[in-house]
Amino acid sequence: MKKLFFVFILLISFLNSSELKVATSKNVGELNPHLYSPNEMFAQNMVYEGFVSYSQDNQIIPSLATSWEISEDGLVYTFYLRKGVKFSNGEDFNANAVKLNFDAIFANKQRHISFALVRAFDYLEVVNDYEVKLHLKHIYEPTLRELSLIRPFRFIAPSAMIDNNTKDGIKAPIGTGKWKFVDTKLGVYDKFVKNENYWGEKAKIDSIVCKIIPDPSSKVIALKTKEIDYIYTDGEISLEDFINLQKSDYQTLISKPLSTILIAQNTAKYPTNDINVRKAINMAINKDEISKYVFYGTRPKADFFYDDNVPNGKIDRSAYEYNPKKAKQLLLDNGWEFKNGFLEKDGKRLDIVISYIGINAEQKAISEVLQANLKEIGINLILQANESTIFYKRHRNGEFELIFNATWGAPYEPEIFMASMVAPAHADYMAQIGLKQKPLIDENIEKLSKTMNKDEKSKLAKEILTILHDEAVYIPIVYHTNICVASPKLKGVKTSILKYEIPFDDIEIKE
Amino acid sequence: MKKFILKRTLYAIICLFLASIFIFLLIRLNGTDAVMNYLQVSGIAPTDEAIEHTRIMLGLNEPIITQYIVWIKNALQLDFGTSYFTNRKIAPDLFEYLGNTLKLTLFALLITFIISIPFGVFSAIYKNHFFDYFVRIFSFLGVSTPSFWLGLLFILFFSVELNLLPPFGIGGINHLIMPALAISFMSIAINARFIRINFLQACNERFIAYAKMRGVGKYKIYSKHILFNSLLPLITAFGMHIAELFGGALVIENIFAYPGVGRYAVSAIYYSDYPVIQAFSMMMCFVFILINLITDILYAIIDPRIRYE
Repeated sequence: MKKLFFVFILLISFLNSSELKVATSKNVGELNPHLYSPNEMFAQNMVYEGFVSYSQDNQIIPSLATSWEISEDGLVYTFYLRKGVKFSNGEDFNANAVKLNFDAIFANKQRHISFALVRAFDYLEVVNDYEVKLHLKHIYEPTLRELSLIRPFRFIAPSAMIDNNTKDGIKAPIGTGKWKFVDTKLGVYDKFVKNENYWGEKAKIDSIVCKIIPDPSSKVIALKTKEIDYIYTDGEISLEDFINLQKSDYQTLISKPLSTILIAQNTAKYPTNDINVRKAINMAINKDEISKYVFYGTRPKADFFYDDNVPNGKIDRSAYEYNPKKAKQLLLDNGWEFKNGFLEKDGKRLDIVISYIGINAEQKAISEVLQANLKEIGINLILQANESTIFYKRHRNGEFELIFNATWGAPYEPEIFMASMVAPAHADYMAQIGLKQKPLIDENIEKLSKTMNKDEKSKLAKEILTILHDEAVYIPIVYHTNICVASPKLKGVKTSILKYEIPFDDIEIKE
Repeated sequence: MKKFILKRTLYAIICLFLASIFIFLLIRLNGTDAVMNYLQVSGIAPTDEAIEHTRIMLGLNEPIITQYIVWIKNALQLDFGTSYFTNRKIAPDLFEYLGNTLKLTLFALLITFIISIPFGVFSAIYKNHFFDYFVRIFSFLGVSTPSFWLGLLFILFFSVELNLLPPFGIGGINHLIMPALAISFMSIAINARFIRINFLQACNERFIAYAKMRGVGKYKIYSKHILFNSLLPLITAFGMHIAELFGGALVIENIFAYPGVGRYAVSAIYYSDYPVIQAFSMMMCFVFILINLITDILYAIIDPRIRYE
């Protein structure tokens, strides 16, 4: 009788269980919280948590630390850990687990060296079971934001590490997050179930199956045949399909601007070392057309380096308006002359090369629009398709005139992203190197991450952005957005301001 | 016969060895940089330090000859190393994916023979009649239709419209029908024409005329004398179709989200995952060389003239 009752309960719970079927392009990896590719960030975010999180209104909010204090000199961060939190295997989360995780991360320091916090980190002190102090070598203001990143500062159960280390793999993906990673089949699916012991508000659905369907058209068909219920993030399906789905019963959402797609102009290389050429290009590009025809209106045109929502991203300048006549006149006024339909100066035709990744259809389409726009003002734009590693070598070596680039989005903006502008390995550094204000930009960036004063921070960021705008170093094209398509049977579907986070938590399946 | 088999096997081994050198060099000399790709995918800034560290980590700092020797030595023991991107051992993944692809390929081969043999035979028997014209049009369409396009059409018709077959993934035989049909369409077309020609040629042979004179029945002539002789050249076609279907499977796997070796290889190429590309290419060479070897040996068994060449 008991057995029968048990089977009955099982059957009832099975019938009541709700499962969300999501389309993905590849397996989520072993889900090591302290490593990168092939661990999928959205999945790492589901399973692991850190001290703090980044909210939808650009604020740092508590996660596994309920509160924190920053010492007056900005060198010590004291975190008060949440009590009663358990890893999904029942292990306690406490200061010892934090210490072991930090030791594991810094045992592989070289791997994380691009994070400024890793370079600024001195040591972690355990005060008691629920209090730790993070000591820095020098002030690094974006510390909390770097701690909110999906990787590497998130915590895995100590028993899941291999010899107290994670650099060579983990035993199992055991975190404190809302989801548990329970099953995977190579090239077929990954499965997560709700963490019933979660310390906060639990997820509303019972499980998530990520089905691996690499082809974008196949994903749309899978949605139509009800093989999947949900598609999230840019690039998973074509924008053309997205627009068609907008006309159907499916829920279609476009996120707020997440980052900016821009083209960097090399200020150290002829002919983009001429500010008039850079300004004329900025005025000759019809971004409305790009937004409408290349991105089907899913990405708004970008007039500035940052969208208004980025903290300290707004500057007191007007945009370079689309005005081909004015652009042409600017060049004619500065010694360029028309010959055979193109501008020339000192016997040299105004030829400019734009570098893009050959297999990136968006970059190619934007380049083609640019080519047509610039031809109108007498500039011959030459399209140069690159294999991706060669493209990034160009970024690094400064071997470009115009090259595609993008900002990183929250929570990196502006300080963490700008910090990359002082590193010669980035296209931004190479693009700016010809500016006479480059030392000032670099100095401001250095100060930016070392000041705890909000007003000063705002002033410094705006000063950098104003120089970059006045010097027309970049051509902002569109603000990048994520798209989401969900079956009509889903409730609570939304988008996030964080590029790599998929907001599953509020999703419910309607009866 | 033994000598023949040994000689052919030796040729096959030499071919594999040369292919391994060619593959290894081609990947490394094509201008791509696995280190840059790795850093990019991992979201790590390509600083000099990071590049150097990653190059050492991936073993790409060693001289190219050392890299080759280490690789070939391990590959001979079926250890193809670890993928740069999945951080998993390649051999188990490759064989799991390969198993799926072979299952799809063999199923497609079965479909090819089941459909093409009656198509070819009956279009020859009913030459210049309705069925013959039908097979001719079918063959024309078959060789001109890209498999990925046909695959999408199948999904739209059988899955979206009729809800008859599962559109994606792996499971029972239901999951194999559409991708196998899509890739075998061309082979069916070619094979049907091939059998038709062979059948018609066999009809004109003297022994058929003698059989007719001997008063052998029409059905017996078709089934025993003509059919057997017209199907012999299919041994060559078998090798050809396996290669064709295998290639087709690699293309179609993405459309049907079928976890086969093609998808594994495509993502490896995308990420410049050298060890996986090498393992995949070597495996492909091995499969093709092996099929050719089997075909040669089969021919030698059937036709003694070949072994004395």
